[in-house]
Amino acid sequence: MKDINIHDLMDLILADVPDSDEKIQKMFEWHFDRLKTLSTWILGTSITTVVAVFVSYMRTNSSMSGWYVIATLLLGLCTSCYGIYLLWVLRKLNKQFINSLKLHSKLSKMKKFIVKYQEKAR
Amino acid sequence: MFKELFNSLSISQSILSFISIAATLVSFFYTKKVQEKHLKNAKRLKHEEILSSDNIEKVGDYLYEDIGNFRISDYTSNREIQSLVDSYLTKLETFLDKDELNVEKQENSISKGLKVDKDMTFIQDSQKLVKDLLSGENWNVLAHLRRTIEFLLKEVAEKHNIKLDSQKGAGSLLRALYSKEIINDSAYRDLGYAISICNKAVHGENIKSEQAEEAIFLANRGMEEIHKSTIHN
Repeated sequence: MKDINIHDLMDLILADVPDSDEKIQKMFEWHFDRLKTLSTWILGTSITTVVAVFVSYMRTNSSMSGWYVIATLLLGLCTSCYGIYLLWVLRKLNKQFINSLKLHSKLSKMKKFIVKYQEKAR
Repeated sequence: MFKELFNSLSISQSILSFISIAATLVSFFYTKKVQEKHLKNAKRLKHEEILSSDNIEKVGDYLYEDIGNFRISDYTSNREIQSLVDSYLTKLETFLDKDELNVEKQENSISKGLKVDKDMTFIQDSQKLVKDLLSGENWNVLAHLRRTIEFLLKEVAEKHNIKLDSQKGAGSLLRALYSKEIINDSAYRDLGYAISICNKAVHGENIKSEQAEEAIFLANRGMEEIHKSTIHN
């Protein structure tokens, strides 16, 4: 789901959608679920590959140096990089939701003007 | 077998980690780039210039395109964007709801000779305004009329050495001058009605062209009344 823009809130007002606050809350819930799922998959993949590499190394009886293994394990942790980035993005979702409601409230007071502008723009 | 498995796992892990790091860096820098681009667009015009343009498309385009293009996430994470958006929305809100004033017209019937058939003394571009009304530019005309009335009332206040807050709108100025008995009832009713029509139009209500033309006529008549009483005093 793309990030919500301020003009998406204006479109919501123009569409005269009842209970807009609940609709906005729903949008944020979907957004949260999507990012959380994606983050979980990435972190899960990262840990799985690290464990798989470690287990397969233990079974190989190889003469490979420990450094090579450490490098491979570090790479596995790097795989989790994007997942951690998504978690970092998620931390501000509550504040984004409150700001959406605040902006929606301000823009609702200008509804008549926005309608007039849209009529003119078309 | 496990050696081959280990090698293939290492390779696929390397690829995945590279993709992950690339995705993180691209997302982070793309977000920053988009924020900077939208901020640059939004900062190219001053808010006061936009609001005094008397052009609904200019005011609306800036709100819908420039301010509207900011993401909620940008608004939340970037203080400069938040400040810019809040500033414009506050100024626009004040502009649209400037000084509620509900004054009834003195005449009972509509369009009783209240037509603009020549250039007027105080509303000097009145013929052009009427032409614009015929083209359907009611919002632009009445926004311009309100600003003209505001300017003329400020001049009257200055002539009488009355100090008023420069941020006050036409309605507040009119009330202040009326309370100090600088303007009489007749001028107050004419200008008050004209200002209420302008306020309704700017707020987004539908105003008929006949009402708009009346507002221009009555605004000029009100100013003529003030001018006459100033000469006699």
